[in-house]
Amino acid sequence: MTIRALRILPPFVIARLGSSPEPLENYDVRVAQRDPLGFREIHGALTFVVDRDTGSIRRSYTPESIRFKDAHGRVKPVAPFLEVWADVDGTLVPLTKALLAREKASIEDIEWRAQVGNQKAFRRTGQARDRINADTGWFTGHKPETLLGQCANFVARKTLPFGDVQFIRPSKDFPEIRLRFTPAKGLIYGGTDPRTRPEDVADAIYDSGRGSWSGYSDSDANPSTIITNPSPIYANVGDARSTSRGYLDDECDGIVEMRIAKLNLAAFARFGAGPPDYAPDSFPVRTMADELEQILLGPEVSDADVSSEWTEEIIRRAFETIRLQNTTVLNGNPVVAGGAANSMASQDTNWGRAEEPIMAPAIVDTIALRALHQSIFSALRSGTATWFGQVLRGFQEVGDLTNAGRRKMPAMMRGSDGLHLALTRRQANAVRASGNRQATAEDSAAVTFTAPTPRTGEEKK
Amino acid sequence: MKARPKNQTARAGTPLAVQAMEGTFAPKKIGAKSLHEQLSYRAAGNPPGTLPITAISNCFPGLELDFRNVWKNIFKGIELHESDNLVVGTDREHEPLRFRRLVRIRIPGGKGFQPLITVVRGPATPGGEATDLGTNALEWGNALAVIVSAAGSKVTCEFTRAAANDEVDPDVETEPFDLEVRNFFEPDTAVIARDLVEPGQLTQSLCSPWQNDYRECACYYWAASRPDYVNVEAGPSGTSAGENWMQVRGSGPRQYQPDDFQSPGLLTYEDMFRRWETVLRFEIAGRDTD
Amino acid sequence: MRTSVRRYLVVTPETRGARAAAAQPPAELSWHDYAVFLLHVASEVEHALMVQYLYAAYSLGGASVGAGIHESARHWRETILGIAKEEMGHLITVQNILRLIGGPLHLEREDYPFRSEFYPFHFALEPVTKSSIAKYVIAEAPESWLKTKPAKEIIERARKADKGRSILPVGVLYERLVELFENEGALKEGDFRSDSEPYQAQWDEWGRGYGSGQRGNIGRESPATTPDVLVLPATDRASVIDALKQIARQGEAPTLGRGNEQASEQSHFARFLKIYQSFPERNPPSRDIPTNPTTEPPSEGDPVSRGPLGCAPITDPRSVLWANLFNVRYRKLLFTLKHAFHVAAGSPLDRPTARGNLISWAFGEMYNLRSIGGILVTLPLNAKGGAERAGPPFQVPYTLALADWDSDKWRVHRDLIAASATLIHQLDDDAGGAHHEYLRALRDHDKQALEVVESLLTAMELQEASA
Repeated sequence: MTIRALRILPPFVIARLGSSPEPLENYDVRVAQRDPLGFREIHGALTFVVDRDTGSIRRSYTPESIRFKDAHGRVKPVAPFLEVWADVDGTLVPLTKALLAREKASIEDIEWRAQVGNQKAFRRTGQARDRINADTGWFTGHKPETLLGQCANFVARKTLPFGDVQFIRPSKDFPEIRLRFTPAKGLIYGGTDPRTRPEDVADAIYDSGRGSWSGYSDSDANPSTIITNPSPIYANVGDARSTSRGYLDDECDGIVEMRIAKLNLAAFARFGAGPPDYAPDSFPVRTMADELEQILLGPEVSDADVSSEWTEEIIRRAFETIRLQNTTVLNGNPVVAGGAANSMASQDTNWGRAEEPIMAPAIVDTIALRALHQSIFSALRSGTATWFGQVLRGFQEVGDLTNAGRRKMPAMMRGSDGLHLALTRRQANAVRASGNRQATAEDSAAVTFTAPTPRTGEEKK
Repeated sequence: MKARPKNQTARAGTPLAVQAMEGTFAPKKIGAKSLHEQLSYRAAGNPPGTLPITAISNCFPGLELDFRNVWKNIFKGIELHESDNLVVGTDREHEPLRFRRLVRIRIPGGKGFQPLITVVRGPATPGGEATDLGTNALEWGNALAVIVSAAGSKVTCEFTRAAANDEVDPDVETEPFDLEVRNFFEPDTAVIARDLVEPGQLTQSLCSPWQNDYRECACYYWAASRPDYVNVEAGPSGTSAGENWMQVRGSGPRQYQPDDFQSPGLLTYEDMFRRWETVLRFEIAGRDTD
Repeated sequence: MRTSVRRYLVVTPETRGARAAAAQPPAELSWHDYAVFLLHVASEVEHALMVQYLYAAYSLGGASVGAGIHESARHWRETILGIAKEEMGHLITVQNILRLIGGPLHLEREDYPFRSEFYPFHFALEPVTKSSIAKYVIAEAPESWLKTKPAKEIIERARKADKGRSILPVGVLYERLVELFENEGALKEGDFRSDSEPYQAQWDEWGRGYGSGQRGNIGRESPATTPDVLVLPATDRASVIDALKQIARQGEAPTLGRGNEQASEQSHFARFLKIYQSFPERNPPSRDIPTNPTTEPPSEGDPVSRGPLGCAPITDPRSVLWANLFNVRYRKLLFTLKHAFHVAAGSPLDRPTARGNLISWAFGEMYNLRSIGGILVTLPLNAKGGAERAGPPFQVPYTLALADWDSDKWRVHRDLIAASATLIHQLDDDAGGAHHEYLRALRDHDKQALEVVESLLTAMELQEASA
């Protein structure tokens, strides 16, 4: 029995910014059994309290309720743990002190390194000197290791803090090998020129005399199409050229890796730091998990992979999104004097498409649309087979701005190409196949048939 | 690979990613080859906000990350624009492809071609006949999903015959090049491959600073993360009444202020830069909680 | 249909083909009145066909479906469900025409068993057999085809299946209606209201704007596309004639004349004929469900009459509760549909009105009927046990009349939600029953709808008190 390989799990983890010294407690999010159409419930879950000085887990507890801001109104950062797992004879198990001892290695043999970057300025200016990188270098021990962003165009000795990583000291109660990333506070940094307003920023760290980020404009890009889409998306002085103020934030993404040189083992994982999730009991229709699953498992689904719960989850996320949207406004209907606000209906006019509401105004109020989606959800729960696969927007139909095209689902939302959103192909295939599967379930309560059908193929065009 | 509940509180068939946030998927061991389970794993002590299922992926440009960037380096030798079919960088060997556009790719396994451009069509006048309004690149996530399995081998990519700053028609004349597809995941793992994206690349095309985007983007399509319509209830006419999440609270009767860049009752850039932690509210059950 | 109005019915199968417009309306009626009357008959016919087809579709499935016939049976089920949805569109379009000429809407139908001269066949909720399909073929058949040789056998089979009465094609009624509206001496310009459109059902709302083929079918072998559900506006005489002709054509045209249609784009007649031709003589792939299930208990001393004119009481106590719930939701669908015609639509750039809720709820009730119907066909019919299953009873509510005050119209929704809540509670509280997840979702949905109703009621009562 030997350790064949190491893995850091999760392979991809998200941190969320906040200036509170207290990290956000752990919780679970569950659909209420007695209230299936209601908001998901947030229940406290096992939370580790880390002693920042010693790096050990001082205690664990389950909070009774979750507050997303602290008593001073500061946002609690989401500070994720990353665990090391060992492949022992084809099975991953958490790496522990005891397991290391069997390999004649110890905690002290473990080295870590974290590297993150913020390339937002570089992405615009194209100047390598605008890259902001932080690297802890290889380290051992359990002190917090700060991630200080360095940049050739920073004022001398100035850095941009991205937070820190801390190797949690294993103990008898918590013997696993884990590292915690605590992200930055959500501060803004500026430059040494007057475009930076001191009240906006934590510090003026960018040397505007050396670098071009302050004063940059997307209008100068060559070729012009190289700019981000959408653009311009950076703090600017509000002129016609959208001249950049040279502001930087403390978001980042990067890699954390660990190695045990004497065992010739190593692993890495990825992480990033973004803004808080402000609706923690609601979930987007299409998420990064859906992207990663499509890449890992492919766009096609087999009948065996499909479940009514999967389809239900997609419909649930649809009404979770709808109930937090003013769908009347998004349909292109004015709700107050002054005309329609920014919406897919107004975005479509950028193509020269006529300005028109997407759907009949009578049916687009948030409450009516929520009710409709919840009725569909209820019907699925009765065992009714999925019947709406044909109203899903195909991924190649996103440019169809006819009314019929714009009314396909998901509606009134934008995809990664700026056109109307389509689900991942895997999601869409799952919805379509679940109708097939249910129509053939061997369950006596199923609405229709009894014989199984063969595996389904890719969506038909 | 089947999503199956790991304990009895989960309903059969609930996706693994959902089980992870419910706390019903918390395995003590995972098969070394069970990559879906590894991908969905939620570490002890981590709240659900750490999971990919809480991150939006209709990235225009995104909130947590701009996931489009994972596709930039999928072909060895060229760098693609994250949201356009434009080649923005190359190695020396592929220098001739710089600023050309990738029009279509041959789907591995002899399954024809995957176009990467779509025609945008619609009526130019209300109720009018649909006409061609232009062309747009399809998002990489769905269009390139079919080439991931070809990692390590070459696929035929058809580019415009010359650099093309403007969008091109799907039937433009092309020139084929065989390019090697990179591994998306590091072999035998569920971690995005090391050479696919470098630190800082997954966030690089987001707004700088992100706070700016919350004010100006009218990010109505991310409502489950960045709410739009809150404190909603049935009004006297049977339709909904509530507030814009970005609206200054307590400034008068409850009336949704549309984000039309000029509504007076909305948070300002300055509010976002200087007080975002105070002025942005967490919404539990659709209501302000702080 | 109430016997009091039967005396106005002057058309019999034998009179078909007598094209000459009648010089006079039936005694006691004006031309306008007669038009309203015929539109009421059309409403009842479409309504009755819709529920009979739904019942037929729900009956397909279950353990009797052999592997060899599996894909066909699924295809048939989807086809018949599609036709039922189109009948719903016809029913709504007929209400629009009633609106245009200022007639009262009509969503009632006579409870079974009954027949009248305009009805194609005796009303019967029955599981699908080759003979029941024969009745549907003839009811939807075009006149020209009825004279052909292949028609003979089916006509005869259908006649036998309908107690020896000849099936009357639905097209006759629409021919009569078209003649009437084409006759400028009958209906005058003043009989058409130009101000009724905001109170008509609109395609963009009821069809949700989905084009042909997007309405939704289940399974890979289902029809790839489906025809539009016709929800046509009635704005003047010409649009009425056009709407009536389109309805008739969707029913009986040998094809819709667009050339190269897929089978699914053909008329009801063509689709039923295709099913008939491939449907097995014996062992139909339908469930063991009765004809005309009812929640009414068998009366003492009155032996249960079975068959096309009889009813089958559902006696299993749990099945009865589900059947009661089905009837409440059926009433809620009809009432909501009718109520929606009384709340104006906003202008295209206006804000939504409460009509949006009614439309959403109507769709919700259609899904509920499908769900509960699907559940009922798996539950036992009899308290004493046995293999026979129950079925959706589609019993006609005691009234669909709308109260005079607006607030009282909303009050009915509250009543129906309360009636449902009691049934849901009874069904959900015992440990043995299935479908808890559905019942809870339904209860949640009603709870949210009730919030909307209460909010409207409060506002309207205030308004009415101060008026």
